[in-house]
Amino acid sequence: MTIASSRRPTADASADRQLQIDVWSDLACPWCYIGKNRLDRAIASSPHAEAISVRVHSYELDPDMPHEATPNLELVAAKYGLSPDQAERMEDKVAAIAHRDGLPFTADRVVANSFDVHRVLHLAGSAGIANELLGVLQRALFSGQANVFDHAALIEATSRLGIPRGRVEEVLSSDEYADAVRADEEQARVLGVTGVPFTVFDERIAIPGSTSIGGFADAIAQAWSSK
Amino acid sequence: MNITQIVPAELSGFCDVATGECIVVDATPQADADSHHGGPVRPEEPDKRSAPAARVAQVVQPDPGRTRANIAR
Repeated sequence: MTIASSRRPTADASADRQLQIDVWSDLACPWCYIGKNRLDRAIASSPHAEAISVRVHSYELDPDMPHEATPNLELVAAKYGLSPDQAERMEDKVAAIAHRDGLPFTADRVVANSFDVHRVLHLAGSAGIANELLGVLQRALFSGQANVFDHAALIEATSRLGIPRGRVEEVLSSDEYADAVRADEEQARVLGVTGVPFTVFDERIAIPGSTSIGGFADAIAQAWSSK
Repeated sequence: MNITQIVPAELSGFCDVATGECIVVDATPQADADSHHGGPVRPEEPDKRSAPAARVAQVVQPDPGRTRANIAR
């Protein structure tokens, strides 16, 4: 799914010079949330921002996750044999980083299977708004505002961005875009991805995780200069 | 897609696709090394910080003459 940033005529654009950025991520991944915000800021600060497009790719960190929402801390504590306090202290580390970046972040959120979310992101990609929808869903989830794994919340968030509610319902009641999700994950396997977010600049330069805004900006500059 | 370079940027963190574990490698005092969203607390993992996460034909080192400060923004 390709999400081109809104483009105004610039020297770069008029020369038809473009830079594509591909990102594999999962909604449940806090580093994908932090990394997306940093990448977006790096793009915004680039002199080539108008010529950069972001393509969102699916990756499920836990394809076997139940569809029913589970409190995040409960899941972490159970999965790793931790006390609630220990689980919360782990969350505090990432929360501090997110807060430094100006992002809302709470341990008091839910997790669930993200397959349907990825399918809807592909639907959004067909309308050119996958990156925007991903940002909306991440913020709603990690702020604790909503369980966006829930179909009603997912439909609401997606329709607010202009995709007809009935179309989202149609996708969720079918297996539409399931193949696209699996194709993304297969591509990740072929590429040898071991961590998300996984960001590829100009189909050749990769950052295997979340780095700083400057780190992403460096990669953009390098990819642009070596095109 | 043909990944030929892993940018040697310092990572802040990532989620391991094999285990689902999310690793903090941000070395700032507020966020000393830890794992999150699973996994026991562990020290900073320099091997993971620099571990290539994709099949890479060639790792290219950054231009030493180029710093963040002189990147046109």
